Amino acid sequence: MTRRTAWFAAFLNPTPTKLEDWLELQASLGWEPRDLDDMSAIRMHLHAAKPAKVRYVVDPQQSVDDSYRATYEDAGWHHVGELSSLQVWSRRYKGARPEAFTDNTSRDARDRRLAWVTGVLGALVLAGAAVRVAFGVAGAGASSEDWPLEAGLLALIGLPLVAVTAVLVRRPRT
Amino acid sequence: MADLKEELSETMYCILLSLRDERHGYGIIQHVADFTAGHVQLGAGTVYTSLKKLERAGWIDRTRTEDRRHYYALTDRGTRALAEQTQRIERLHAYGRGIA
Repeated sequence: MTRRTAWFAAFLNPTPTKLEDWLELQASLGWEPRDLDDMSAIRMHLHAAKPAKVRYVVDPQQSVDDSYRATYEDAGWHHVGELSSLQVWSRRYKGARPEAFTDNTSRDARDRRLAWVTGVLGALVLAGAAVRVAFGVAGAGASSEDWPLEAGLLALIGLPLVAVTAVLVRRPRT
Repeated sequence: MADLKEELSETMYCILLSLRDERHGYGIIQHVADFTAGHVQLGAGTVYTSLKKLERAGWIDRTRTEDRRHYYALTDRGTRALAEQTQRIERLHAYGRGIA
């Protein structure tokens, strides 16, 4: 087997640190992601590779410029891809585990950037669920009998996003 | 920019010191590691985040872009802030020396 698929990896490992640790574990087992894209949050392809110590860094950035990439690349990082608004970087290492965020202030800022994204997205999806419930109860709109399923699915997506936001916001600041 | 002064960290202070001369992101990482003899190792994510913050505060300015890299240097406001912070640290050091 040269490729396998991991489903919902970004949802099952919703904070940057958890996703980084999960990716690092996969690399140690001989599975590495390549060319991440927006769909990779749901369906991530992992390619067989020689088991290695690879440090991954997840950096939420809505928009990046060339200078952003140059700073990371000059420091020895390889851009794996962009997973929604998460920039994913990797670096093979021996000895000390390399860090891209070396102080608490920038680590906290990273969490806040992600919390902002998940919070807005979660609120929008839950608002959509509420609207669907309201229209469903009122019997308005096409195929109104489907509203419990549709609202439930939206809530299923929105609630974890809000939960992740709460975890990121309430995490003790160091 | 009182907020930034209050939260000025070792990282920010070292970046300000480094930007007395024009440098790009990785140039700052190298320079800081050099003048602190390796005691302060800055990560790429930290430097990028800090540069944005300092630029928003008006303490540094982008001087040019070359080969994909933005170069930065202290502004007059940043130079004054750096001097104030240095005096503050020297005062704290003197207090500590007086007690110890």
